[in-house]
Amino acid sequence: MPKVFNWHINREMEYPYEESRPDKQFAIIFNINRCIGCQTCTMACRNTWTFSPGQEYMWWNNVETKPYGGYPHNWDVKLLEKLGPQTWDGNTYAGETIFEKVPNDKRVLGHLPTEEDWAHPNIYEDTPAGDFVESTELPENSLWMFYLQRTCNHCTYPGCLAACPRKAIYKRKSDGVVLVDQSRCRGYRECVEACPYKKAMYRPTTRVTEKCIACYPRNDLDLGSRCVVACVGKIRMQGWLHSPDKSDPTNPIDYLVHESKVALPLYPQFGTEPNLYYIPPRWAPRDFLEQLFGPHVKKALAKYTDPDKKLFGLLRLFGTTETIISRFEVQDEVAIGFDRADRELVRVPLEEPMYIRSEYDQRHDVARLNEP
Amino acid sequence: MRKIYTVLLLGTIFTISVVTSLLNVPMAMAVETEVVSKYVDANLPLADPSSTMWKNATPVEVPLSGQVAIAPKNLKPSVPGIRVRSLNNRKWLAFLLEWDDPTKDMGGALLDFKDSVAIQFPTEEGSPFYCMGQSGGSVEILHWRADFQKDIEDGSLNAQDIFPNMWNTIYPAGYESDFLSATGAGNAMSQLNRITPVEDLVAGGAGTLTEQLHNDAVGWADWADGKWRAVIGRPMVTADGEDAQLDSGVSTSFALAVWDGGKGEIDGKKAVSTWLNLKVEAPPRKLASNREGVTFSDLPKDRIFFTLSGFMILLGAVAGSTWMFARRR
Repeated sequence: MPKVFNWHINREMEYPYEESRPDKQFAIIFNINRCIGCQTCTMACRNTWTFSPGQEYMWWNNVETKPYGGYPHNWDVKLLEKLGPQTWDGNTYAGETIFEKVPNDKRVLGHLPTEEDWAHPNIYEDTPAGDFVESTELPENSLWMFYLQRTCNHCTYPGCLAACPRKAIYKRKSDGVVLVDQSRCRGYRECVEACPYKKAMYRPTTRVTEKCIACYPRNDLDLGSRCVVACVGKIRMQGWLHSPDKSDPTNPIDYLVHESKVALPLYPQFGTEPNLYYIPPRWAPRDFLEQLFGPHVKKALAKYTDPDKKLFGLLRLFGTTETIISRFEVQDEVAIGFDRADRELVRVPLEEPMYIRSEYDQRHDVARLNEP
Repeated sequence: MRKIYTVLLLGTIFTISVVTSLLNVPMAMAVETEVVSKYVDANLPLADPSSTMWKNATPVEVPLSGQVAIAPKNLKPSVPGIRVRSLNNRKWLAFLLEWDDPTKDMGGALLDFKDSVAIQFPTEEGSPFYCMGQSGGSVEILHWRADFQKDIEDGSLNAQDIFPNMWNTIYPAGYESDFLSATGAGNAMSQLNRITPVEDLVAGGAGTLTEQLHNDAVGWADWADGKWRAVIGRPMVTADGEDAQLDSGVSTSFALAVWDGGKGEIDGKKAVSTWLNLKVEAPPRKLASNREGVTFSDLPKDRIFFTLSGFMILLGAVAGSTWMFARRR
C-alpha cells in the first residue's frame, strides 16, 4: 500500500492511493470562541442543498454541543473506541490511523450509524459537563460546553474516497473539493461507514450517497460557501490553504494555520488530514481539547489569548465580506482584505471607535432617556 | 486357450468402460460442473418462477463461498448454495435460480440492503478472473435486484414509505428529478419508471462495474417460506458488443453470486461460485428424410475419446504383461 505524508501527524502513513495534493485547498477556519449556536449556517446549507425527498435527515452543515452532543450521535466516540487508546510522541502521532488499524476484510476502519443516531441532530444542545459553581473561571471553566461547527472536511486523504470500491468519489485537483460522482455511485455505503466525521450521507430515494460539495459553484466564482457567508457571529473565514512548505504569510488561511498556528484540525489522529481548522475555546479543559485537536492546543490558545497586531487584525476580518480574501494586510489602524485580483474588498478598523451621546439633546430640547 | 481368455478379458474391460461412461461416471478426468440449458419449443416463463415449464430443465446444486479475493470481503457468507437450471427456445435463454434466505429484503434506508443474485459470463472465449473479470477479459453480468423489483411493484421510493411516521411539511422543489441529483445525472440506481428488475452490466476487473448502454435483461422473482426463486433471462444473441453471445450449441463458462441483504451483504460482500459450464442445447436437427435423429455433432465425443484411450492403455498393459509371462515360460 502506498505511503503518503500527513503533516498533521508529522509522519508517513498508509493510504490506498499515491500522494497528490491539489493546486490550492478549500479550507475554512472556525473561531469557536465566537459561535453562539444560532444554527443560521445549518439552515443556510439546508435551504440551499438538502430540502428534497430523501434528504430529510441530512445536515451537511451541523453545529453540535460538546462534550455530549454529536450528529450522528456519538459519531466520534464510537470511532475513538474502535481505535482504542493511542498516543502522541511530541508532535508525531505514534498510534494507528483508520487506514492502518483496518480489519482484514475492509479497506478503512469505520462504523455505520443506526437510523436513530441521525434522528436528533442537536441532542444535548447546551448540556454542559462538570460541576455547577457560582462563578466561571479561566483558564478552565468548572462547568463547560462549547459549540462545534462541522461540515465535510474535504480531507487530503479522505476516508470516503479510500473506502469506495469503484472510485465513485474523487478529489478535485483544482481546489481539493471531494465529491461523490452522482452518475457512478451505486449506493454501497462503504463511504458512509468509512468517513470518520460521518459527512457522507446515503439518500434512500435515489439510492446513492451525497455529501457537502463545498458550495463549489460559489467557490468557482470566488464567493464563500453558504454556511460561511450566512454566519451571524462572523466566526468563519474561508480561503485557500497551501501545504506547509508553500505557505504564504499574506494568505489569511496559511497565516492562521501555518504561521500563527492558532487554528487546529479536528481529530488529526484519524489520519485523513482534514481541511477545516478550529481556534479552540479558551474555557474548555485542555485534555478534552487535546483529544479533539491534537497536541498543539496549549500553544494555539496562548497565541490566541495574547495575539500580536497582525493576528488581531486578521481576526477582525472574519465575516466582513462574501468574497474569498486571497491576501490581507494589517496596517496601524486598519485591516484590509484583497480579492484574488488584488482589488480591495473590505477595510475594517482594528478598534471600533466608541461614541457616547450626551443625556440631553439640545436640538430637540429633550432628554435622551431609556425610561420615562 | 490362453488367447481366448485374453480376448475375453479385454472384451469385458472394453464393454465395462463404455457402459460406465454412458452412465455418467467419469473415467479419465474430473469435469467442471455443467448446466445444460434445455431447449424447449415454446415461450419461456421469463417472469414466472413457479411455471411448470421449469420442470423440463435439470437443476444443478452449486456450492457458494464468501468472496475473499478483494476487500470489502465476505468472511461469513449467508447463503451456502444455490440451485440453477436453464431453458432456451433458440431466441431467449432463461435461468431459474433458487436459494434459501430467511428474510425478504427489498432495500430502503441506510441499513437496509437488498437481496439480489447475479450471473456472470465472459464476453469472449475462455474464463477470465472469476471475480469480476480482468483487463482484456471482460464479463457480462445479469443482476436481478429486489429493490428494482420493488420499484416496479410499488412505484419509486418515497421517504414516507420507509418511515411511515415521518412528517415533512413541504418540498420546495417538489419531486423534480433535477433535485434528485442522481436521477438527473442519469444513474440507473435512481431511475424513475423502471421496467426491468434485472441489470445488464459489464466489468473488466473489480471496481470497474458499469451499466451497459443497452439493457437486454428481463426477469422476476418470488419469495416464499424462506426461499427466493428468481428468473433471469435475455435474448440469446444480441447486437450488443458488451454482451456474451449465447447461441444454440454454445458451451460457455458462467458464475453465480448471491447477496443476502438482511445480513448487510452488498458490493464485494457476496457469496460466489467458481466458474461453471453452461451448455446451450440446440434444437434437435432434422435428417434429410425429415425424421428426427442423432447426428454426429450430438455424439458424446469426449466420452468416446476417453473410453477408447483408456481401453488402449489397458490393452497395452495386458498385452505387455502377457508377453512377459510368455517369455518366462
